[in-house]
Amino acid sequence: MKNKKRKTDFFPYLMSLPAIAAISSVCLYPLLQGIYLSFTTTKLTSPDVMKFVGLNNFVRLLSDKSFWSALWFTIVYTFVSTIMAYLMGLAVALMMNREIRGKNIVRALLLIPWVVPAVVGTTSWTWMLNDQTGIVNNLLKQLGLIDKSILFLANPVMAKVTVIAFCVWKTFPFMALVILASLQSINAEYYDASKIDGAGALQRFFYITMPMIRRESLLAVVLMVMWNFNRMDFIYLMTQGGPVNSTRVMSIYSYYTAFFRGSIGYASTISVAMMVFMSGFLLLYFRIKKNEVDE
Amino acid sequence: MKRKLLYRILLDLLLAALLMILLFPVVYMIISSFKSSGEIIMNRDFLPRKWTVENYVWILLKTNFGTYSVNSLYVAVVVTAITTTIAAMAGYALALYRNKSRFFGLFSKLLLLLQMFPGMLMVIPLYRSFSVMSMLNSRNTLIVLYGTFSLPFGIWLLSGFFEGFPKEVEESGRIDGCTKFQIFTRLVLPISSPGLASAAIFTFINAWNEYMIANIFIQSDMKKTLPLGLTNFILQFGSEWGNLMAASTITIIPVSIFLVFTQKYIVQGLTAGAVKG
Repeated sequence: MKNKKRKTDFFPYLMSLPAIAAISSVCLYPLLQGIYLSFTTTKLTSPDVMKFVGLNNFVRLLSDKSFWSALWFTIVYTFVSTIMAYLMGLAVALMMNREIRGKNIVRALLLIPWVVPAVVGTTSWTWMLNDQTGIVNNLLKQLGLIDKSILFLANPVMAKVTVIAFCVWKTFPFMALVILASLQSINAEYYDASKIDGAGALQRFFYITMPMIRRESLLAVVLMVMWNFNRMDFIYLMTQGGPVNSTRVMSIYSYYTAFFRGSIGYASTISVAMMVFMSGFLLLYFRIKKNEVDE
Repeated sequence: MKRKLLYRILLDLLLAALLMILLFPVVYMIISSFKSSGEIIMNRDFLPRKWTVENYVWILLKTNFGTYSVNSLYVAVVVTAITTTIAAMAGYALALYRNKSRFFGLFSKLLLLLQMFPGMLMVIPLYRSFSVMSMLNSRNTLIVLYGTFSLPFGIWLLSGFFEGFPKEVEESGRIDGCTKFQIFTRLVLPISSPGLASAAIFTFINAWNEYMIANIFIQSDMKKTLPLGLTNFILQFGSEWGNLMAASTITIIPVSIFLVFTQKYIVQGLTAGAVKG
């Protein structure tokens, strides 16, 4: 059609131009700006006045008790809920990894907690866990397990447990489906061979199943850790970080600092600290991955 | 043989019990929405004594629920159309050039890296910029933000999908004298509906469910999306559980319909995204 000359091929650049433009202006540019803001004392009410204060915000962060308690709960929340979601996902995936009648329906049902909007999930959980009219407390009372209602969202310790349980409920379907797909790609011959060799079910699980799904599992866990670490809507919608800040994670702390107290400079500093932690975590992951390749 | 059958039945029962517990919050929500406002506080039984739709009538007639729904639908549909198109184009470029060009190799890594950054770090400067441009309180602002934040996953998913295509498709196009763009629009896209569907579904669900960004950028009641409107109800009618449950139930209807018809694509997308890595 056209004469073919060897020169720079613009085609891929043109094709990805809209995406690159959007990501640069709505993700990368704000990101750099956010990092800059973390060195300033910018206020929400006068966003044009950006007073550069060097490392002052970071020094303040180190002695900020609210920050350390938020950091601690963020870590606990992230890792406990990710590990529990993984274990539950693994259990469900193992149960589903066989011939099931109505497989599609089961999979669709399994996905429900994951696709339901966070607002809807938290509303129905709050309703179920209500101390006076909630069905969970009433049921436990009828069974004679408790005399007084459990304050699932008003007691600081119980609130922590509840938000973690909610996160597990909401995210385990993702884990289950990723693990299931990875289980189904294991060649059945391995199992047949091990049966002939006389391996038991437990041995098969630890020496065939787990090594075969290891790569996908690791990636799913890493993604989930990053999502849980940065996400705030689950907890915000359930407890707003309360009672007495017991469920306040770093993202909620940053949000409050920016939009209620109006210090967007310091709020950015908190977010930058989050980013530093996640970079550390990601470096660890890449090191593990690299070691695996070297082996 | 008998032991195997017993084992299977046991597993089926266990799975069914587990599913029932896990789905209970949603099932109970739907059932509660049919209890009258008096009954919902007094009646502690699971099922309503008298099934009623008064909560639904109230929600649809006496609140701005219709407006919220229209806003949500508008935002989600526009975002889905735009993002899927842009992601398909970039995903195709990435699939062809990821291993050939350093630029696209980096671009591919950047997409994964973007998952790492805390949303607040972007949202705070964005809020600042949009308030300077006086573009707060606009559905189009939501479209820009949701659209872009969904791009990395969409591109990732689609590039994985395009990579799976046989090389013959492109070769046959070249022999027929098509330009690269024509190969993409006339040969590749028509056979890509499963991949495009996965990307579209993910984008739609994310946009439909999103709460935090909408909460920060939208204040006026007439611009609110459903999740935002729903939290509004909680603040306004805190203890009117029946109404809340009805509103929640309506909110999940579109996503549920989606789920029934498209769960295959959702599973494909999830696994393509995570397994590729």
